[in-house]
Amino acid sequence: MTAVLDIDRVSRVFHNGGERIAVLDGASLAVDAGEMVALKGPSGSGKSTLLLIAGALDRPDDGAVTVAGTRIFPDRHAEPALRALRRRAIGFVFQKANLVPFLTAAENVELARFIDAAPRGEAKARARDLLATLGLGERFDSLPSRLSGGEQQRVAVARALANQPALILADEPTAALDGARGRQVLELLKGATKSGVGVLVVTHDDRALDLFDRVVSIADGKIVAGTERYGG
Amino acid sequence: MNLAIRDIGRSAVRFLLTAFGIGLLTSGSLVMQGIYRGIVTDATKLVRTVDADIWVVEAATTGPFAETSRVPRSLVDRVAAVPGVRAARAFALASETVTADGRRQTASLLSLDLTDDGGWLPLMSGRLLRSAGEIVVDASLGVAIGGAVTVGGETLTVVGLMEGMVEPSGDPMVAVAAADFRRVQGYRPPEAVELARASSDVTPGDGAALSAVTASLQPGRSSFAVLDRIRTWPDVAALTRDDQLGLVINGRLERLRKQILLFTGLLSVITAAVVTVTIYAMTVEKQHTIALLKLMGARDRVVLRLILDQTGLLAVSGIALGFWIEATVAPLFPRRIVVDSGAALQVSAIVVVTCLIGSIAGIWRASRIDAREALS
Repeated sequence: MTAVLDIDRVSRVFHNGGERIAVLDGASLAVDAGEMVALKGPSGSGKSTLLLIAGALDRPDDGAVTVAGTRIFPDRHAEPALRALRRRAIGFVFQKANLVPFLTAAENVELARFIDAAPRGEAKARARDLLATLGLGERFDSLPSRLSGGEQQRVAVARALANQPALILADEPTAALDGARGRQVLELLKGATKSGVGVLVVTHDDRALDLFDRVVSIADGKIVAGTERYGG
Repeated sequence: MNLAIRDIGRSAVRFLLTAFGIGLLTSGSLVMQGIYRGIVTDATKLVRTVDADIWVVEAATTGPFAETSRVPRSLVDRVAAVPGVRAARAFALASETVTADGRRQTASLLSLDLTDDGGWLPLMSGRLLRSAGEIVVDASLGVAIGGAVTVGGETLTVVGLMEGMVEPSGDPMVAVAAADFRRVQGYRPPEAVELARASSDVTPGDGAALSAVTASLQPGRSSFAVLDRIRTWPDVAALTRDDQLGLVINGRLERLRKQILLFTGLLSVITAAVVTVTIYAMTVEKQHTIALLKLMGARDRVVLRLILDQTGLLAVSGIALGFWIEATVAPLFPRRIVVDSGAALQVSAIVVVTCLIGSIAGIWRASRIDAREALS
């Protein structure tokens, strides 16, 4: 299986005054194409920093990071190149849906194609297909304020999938949802893996771990477990 | 998909209020420009209407508009005798108090010789002067044809109405026969005559002097030769039509022009400040959206366009509202306001440039937004 995300012994140190805080300390993690991996750990364990590094939003101090075949560290890429990587190879899902409030559901999904300069007609068709697939066929023209939390999160998943990314990074995507709706969102992400997308989900939610292929645990900046296979 | 228009649609009322504010400032600039151009038009109207090639005025003066000039009536014949001169015409202008329909107001009294029927005047209705005792007035005086106007003890009948013949001060011009002009100029109330006689220090004028003599040249004749000839006369000065226009605009109106320029500059600074604050506030409000766009990998130009499109729409809306407000309020002003294409282009360019300057703050703010803020 090809790894769409390969994080190899990365370290990240922050300095707070004179204090040196090692948030990541030689952490390694790989996500294969078509695999959905959960990243669990207590607060302050380094989950979010690992996610930022995987999303080309932060640089580690040491180690190597490869996303969708592009080695982004220690190779140095300019910000425009990293943005292009995010635009074309990575989809993001957040704890809150993070939809653009002045765009409709369909336009929020189109946005991912729009910023990649895709033709309007194609972007629109893709957005409508995705929303229909995710059960939001009647909500194309609804503004986010008119959607429930679960519907908003499904729109966010559709947006993450719009550019057919190699990797989806999700940060606590079920935190703001009840159990059933949270599971529904994870099932959507799981469904995406069938087309070869690798999914890394930071989660505290133990109720749907059966949907993940692997659960990786992190503590004190180190990966402490990650070989258990639950479902898939 | 135009993100700027979508965003504006969400807060249309606020956008329109801001555009209205810019429109008010724009209309202020337009009105100021219009007043200035109106004053220039009025100040140069007579020079342009007379359309003389050469103005012969009192020596060492720049009269008769920029300063007082008095020349003898005999100068008309002297100028007419210069080779190359087709015709010489007496020009006399004086400020007088006129009474019409019981209202007293100041007007500029223009003298027309018997040989000059005043055919060059911009007559709107009625007819030109045929004899003494008649007067042609600017329509702004508010007297109808057949009405009576009293000036300098003379009561004259209105026979014609002119259009746009007003002084920069807004005072209307009136034209009378030279004989009436002399009588008006020579008129003193009986009490004043008595006082003058008693004190022996004032001699009532006879009104015979002219302000200037104008000359038109024979076709194909160079003005230089005529000017050179007249300039050899020690008692007069000779000015071309362009000299006269330059004296009016650069001499008489220079301070006014500077004032208008400063006021327009001030309005532009206020516009820039309003736009800067507005665009900055709009950018801060969209901080999360901009962070999200960056996180999703949007190029800088997507964010830049979001801000510049909104700035552009604000500028265009402000300009459109500004022109509408100006067109609505301009007729209420008691003087001529000339907003020609030059003024319109100038003010529009100032608004666009100030809006672009104002957007720099928004662009700067947007450039400092970190994509990671979308995760917070």
